[in-house]
Amino acid sequence: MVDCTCTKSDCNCGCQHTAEQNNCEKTTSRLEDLLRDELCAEESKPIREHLAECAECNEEKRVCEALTEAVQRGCEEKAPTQLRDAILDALPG
Amino acid sequence: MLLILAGITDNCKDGAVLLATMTLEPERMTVLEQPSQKVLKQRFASEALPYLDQLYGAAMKMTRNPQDAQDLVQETFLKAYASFSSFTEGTNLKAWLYRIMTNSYINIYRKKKREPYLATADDLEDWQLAGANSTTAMSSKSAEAEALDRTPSSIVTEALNDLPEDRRMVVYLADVEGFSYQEIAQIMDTPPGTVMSRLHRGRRQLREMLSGYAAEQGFVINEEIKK
Repeated sequence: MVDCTCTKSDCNCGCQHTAEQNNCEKTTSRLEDLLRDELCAEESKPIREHLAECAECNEEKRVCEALTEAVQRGCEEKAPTQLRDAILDALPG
Repeated sequence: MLLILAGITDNCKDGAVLLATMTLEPERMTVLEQPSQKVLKQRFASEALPYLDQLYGAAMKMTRNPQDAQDLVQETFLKAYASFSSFTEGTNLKAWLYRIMTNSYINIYRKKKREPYLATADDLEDWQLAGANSTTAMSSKSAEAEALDRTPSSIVTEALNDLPEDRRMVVYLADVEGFSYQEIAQIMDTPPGTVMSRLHRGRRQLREMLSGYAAEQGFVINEEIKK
């Protein structure tokens, strides 16, 4: 494994070393699955380890989370009040 | 025994129980001891109706207009009630309701528009959806995240509505409802691998649209939020 200076906040490791670049690509491609808890322990371990030391991938993680929050914001709906009554009225019995 | 089973199914991630429940045809069920309508209706009102707002939100994402969304939700609850006596307690009621709504939508939509459902964008090549990762209009990822935080919800809604339907629904079910890939696969009757690729592509497309918006707006976004 290439010795990388990823712990620095201004690290651009994604472009510096081949090994780290691979790690960044792998991490980015599985990041969403990790955040959704869809990876098993074995799959998530190297990704978590990489995230712990890579500022660039942490920025990517932050974008992923911000996108999810934006989607949640964009989907806030409250059903019209009369809809609940209409449904109850329509139920037989 | 019933309690133990309920506990297991709550934690069940493989969706086997969910599948078993969903594939039951309500029409073919014979219920030996049917509870009185009144009890059933009360149970339905206390267990299923709390999902009203959530289902309405999903219906708005499917139909993209309030009147159709209301019709779809009403239809969904009526269908759900019709087979509620055969619904197994302890299994995933929310996913069951979503499955019923998705089916209802497919039927209504096909009748109305005579167009196939969920067959829009899987065939698009990746080059047609040039990745937001590489061509993002934002100068840096932290700027992109900040811009996303500041994007008005109406803009996000618009962007979501512009996504192809299959992607829009997967993004909604995953991001808003927090369903697992397996659950979404059950709800949409599609393989988990397809769910994953629709989700990734949908989010990438969305991210690109919203980055474009932020780049257009520049500082105007900040001022609008402060008002």
